[in-house]
Amino acid sequence: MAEGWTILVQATVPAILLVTFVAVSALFFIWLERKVSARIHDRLGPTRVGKFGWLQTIADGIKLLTKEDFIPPQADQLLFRMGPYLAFLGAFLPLLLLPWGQGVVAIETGLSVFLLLAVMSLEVFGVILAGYASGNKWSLFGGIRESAQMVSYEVPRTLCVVIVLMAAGTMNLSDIARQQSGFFWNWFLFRDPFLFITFWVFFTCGVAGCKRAPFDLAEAESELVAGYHTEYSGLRWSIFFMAEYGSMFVISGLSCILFLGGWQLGLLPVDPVQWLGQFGGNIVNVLIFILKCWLLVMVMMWVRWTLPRLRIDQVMSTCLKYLVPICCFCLLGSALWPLMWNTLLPGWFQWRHQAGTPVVIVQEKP
Amino acid sequence: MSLADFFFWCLALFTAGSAVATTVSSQIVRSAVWLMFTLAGVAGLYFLLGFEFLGATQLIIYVGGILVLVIFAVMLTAQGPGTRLVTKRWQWLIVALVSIGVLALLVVTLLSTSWQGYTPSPLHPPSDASQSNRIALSLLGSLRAEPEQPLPSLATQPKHRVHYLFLFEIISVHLLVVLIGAAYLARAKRARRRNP
Repeated sequence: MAEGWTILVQATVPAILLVTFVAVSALFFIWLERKVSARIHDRLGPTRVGKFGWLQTIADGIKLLTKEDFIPPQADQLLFRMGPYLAFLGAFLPLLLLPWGQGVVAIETGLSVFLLLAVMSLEVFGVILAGYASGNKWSLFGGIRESAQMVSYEVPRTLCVVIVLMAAGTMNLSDIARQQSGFFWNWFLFRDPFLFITFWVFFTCGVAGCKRAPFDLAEAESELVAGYHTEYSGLRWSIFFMAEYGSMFVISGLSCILFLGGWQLGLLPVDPVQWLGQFGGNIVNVLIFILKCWLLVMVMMWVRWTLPRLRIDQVMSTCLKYLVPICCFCLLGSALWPLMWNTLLPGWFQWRHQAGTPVVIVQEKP
Repeated sequence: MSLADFFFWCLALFTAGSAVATTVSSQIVRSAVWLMFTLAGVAGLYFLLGFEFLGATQLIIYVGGILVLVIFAVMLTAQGPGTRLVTKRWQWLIVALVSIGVLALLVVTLLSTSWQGYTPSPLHPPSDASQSNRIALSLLGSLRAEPEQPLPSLATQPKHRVHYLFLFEIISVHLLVVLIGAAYLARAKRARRRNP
């Protein structure tokens, strides 16, 4: 039984840590979103509550807690209550598989990329159910649009991941990040030109998957009131928002690990784990990872407040007519790249990957 | 009762309960949602047994793929959230016959199987990633997975090797063909002229 308790503690501690992190970072992101949008609109944003308005989200949270929890009479009670939790589950489960540092991961498995893609597709259920169960035509429109969009964007997103897997030769996220150690030119982003294109496609698909502007058709305020969460109020509504910010963090984290070196800064000559020991080094690693993810989240906010919203047909044609063919092209190119490169170059200049690190071998001219 | 047993019973009750709810519910969308929970519970059982690949596949294919389709179909057919299914008496009869038949088949199979030599090993230690690693590497083609013991059906073919990459490629190409075919069938047949 002692072993059982060990497993229980091992399972509970990361789960609680991660839930707390999602909640706290959502508070921070909402404040940041307001500040970023204000800066882009040439406004000040929240300033009254706390220094720089940093307590604004907490004030909002208290307001949301005291709001009436209203369920419309025409709604399907059970599914209406279930929607927010399913959406949050889809945003939270992938975090269990993301490695935050050297061995700092809740579930270590050789198939973590595969599992991650599997659980990321759950989020759409919450949105569909919320849209359907509200008994409101705007909500239903929002839910259906969102499901069409998410299902379509999963195709190029998965293809992008496959391209990285092909370059890495493993499905373990920790191993993928470890292969990019050293300086930043070892990152998969710079490994070959096709992977460079792939990163931007992947990030676009990620933004679309989080239903962020310019892809926020599910809640297009000018057309659909508020889309799938029109009928939600108070705490249930805020769970949807926590899910949205959670999935933004997940997409940023996945982009970091697949393309941007994961927890490695890319500027340090040694790994902090060798330098500060397992514990101290991993704290540095986790901080670097969170910082990188926050930067990517900020890019998403920047995009949201800069670009206008697309139309639904434009969203679909962007995905199916542009992103999928680009992905296929990159898949082919990335497969041929290691074969082509050495035949194109002169024989005395060889370039190949050794244990995941590009090595340039210059032999003397015969 | 060990922890593994406890989790097994939780998951089994969850799966069976939502399976019952799938059939009992008279609203088709609710049935679909309960079916999703059933399939997710089965995936949970796979995870409990340490088969991450099978669990993830279950999630992707059944929970992620088919149920999205189910819910789409339901939404296109349902006239509103209030639509209910009415089961007629002869339908009850047919369903009862089929279900009792399946139950009898299962019970007979369970009782006639000899469980000698079967050692249950649920709840793999969390660090045991070797099995899933092997599957992952053979999916990517970097490793040829060889079963430790030859499978019974393959025992007649010596030196049989399982490599998944080729099958995987064929399935992917097949899916791509289906995708293009669906896009071809769904396209507007003739470009409409706005201003003739």
